[in-house]
Amino acid sequence: MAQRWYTEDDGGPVADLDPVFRHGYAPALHGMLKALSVVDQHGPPWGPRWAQYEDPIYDPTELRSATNDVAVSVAYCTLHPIMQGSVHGDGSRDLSVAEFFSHAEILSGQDVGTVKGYADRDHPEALAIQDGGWIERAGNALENTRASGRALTEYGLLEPLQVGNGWWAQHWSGPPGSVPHEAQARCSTINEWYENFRASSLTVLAESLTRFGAIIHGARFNLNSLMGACVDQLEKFDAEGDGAVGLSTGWKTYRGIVDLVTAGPMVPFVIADKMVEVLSDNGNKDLDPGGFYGTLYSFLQQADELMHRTTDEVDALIDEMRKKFIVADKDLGAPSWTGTAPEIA
Amino acid sequence: MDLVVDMPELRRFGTGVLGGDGLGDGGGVIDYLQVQHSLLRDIAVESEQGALKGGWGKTGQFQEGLLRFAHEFALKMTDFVNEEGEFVEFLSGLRDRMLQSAQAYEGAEAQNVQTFDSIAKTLNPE
Repeated sequence: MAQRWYTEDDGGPVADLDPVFRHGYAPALHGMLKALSVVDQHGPPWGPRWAQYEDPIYDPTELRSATNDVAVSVAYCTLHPIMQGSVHGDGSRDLSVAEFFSHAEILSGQDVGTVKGYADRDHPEALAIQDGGWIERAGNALENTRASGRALTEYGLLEPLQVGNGWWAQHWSGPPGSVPHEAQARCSTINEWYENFRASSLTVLAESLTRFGAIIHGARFNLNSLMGACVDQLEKFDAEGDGAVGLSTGWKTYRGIVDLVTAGPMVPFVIADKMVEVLSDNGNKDLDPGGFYGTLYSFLQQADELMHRTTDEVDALIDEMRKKFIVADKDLGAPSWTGTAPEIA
Repeated sequence: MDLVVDMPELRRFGTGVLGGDGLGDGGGVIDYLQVQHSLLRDIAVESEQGALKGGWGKTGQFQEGLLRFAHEFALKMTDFVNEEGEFVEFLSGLRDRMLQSAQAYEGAEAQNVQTFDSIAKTLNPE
């Protein structure tokens, strides 16, 4: 078996990434990129590199790690790192190791919880949420404030103050202009405000948090899968040369999380339960089969596309949150009664 | 329309049900809402201060794109928290008026009793 030309490395730009990447494909990709950013003179294995021949009859080419430097007669060619695209003379640019992790960096740090498994781009079930992190705590607090509050405690206790309740006539009432008459009028909007603004606003907020968490988890999974496809394709290309075809990775998105409202106003939902909804296929992304450099460049393009797609999803979520919140807020303010209380009943 | 002021019930409702003035057992509606209110305010602050923030200091269009949600969520949470705060204030005002009604009525009633006593004494001196 051929010696591996790279060593996995979870340090450097990988060290602070989300565990999905750190325990996923990022260390392998990092190790490969480090190997592809230098020309190792001390093989075997030498690692893939770019050969520029002095004799113009020979086209410059990428050399696989198994190709012996002696065999390519280093005296008649100059070797460059694969990442040094500027030497191709076709407008290609140099690639840096750090830029391959900039997308993952942006998708790290949001406290949306952890998933139970990593590193398996073909098995999205590994994305099942173990805990929902801050998103879960905040979302459940919002949801508990809405559902349990309404059903059990403060809302129920305020029932006597609602319009038409016999409490007023029995305990506190009077002619127009009196304090109890005014009090009854001020309390008349409690029910409407509570039902139509408070409860629905809390649902919109909890639901939006859950969807944001799902978007981030989905993007992390997809990017880690893309890293995996890149690693596999580079290994395949190194083993098979030009015959290697471009690998494809499936784009996944969550489904089912949009149905939170249907749980009903009295039924609390648990954020983590909603975030473990299965992923569904949402098309595939193919990496360009164009050798080492082509694969790497293709990875960067696909990662950009993934981020565009993710920010588009976030923008759509923001729009929806705004619209729903406006509907909830329609001409409904909390009742108010400020100022000094009058002296007489 | 006659004035109905049920003093014991207003005191019970104001102190025991609405609460929030430190006189009840702390289990009133206002007490509950104040605890929730503080929790919700924390969520609003945390959401913007880092819980939803990704990346490690670098900026870029994608990072900004994701951060837009944190800003908007914090904004909406703050709207809600402010609205909830107004509701708690309303309930506190209602409680004050209930208790003041009971107190004012009690004072008037005591004055009436005193007047009746005085009349009775005048009519029936011992």
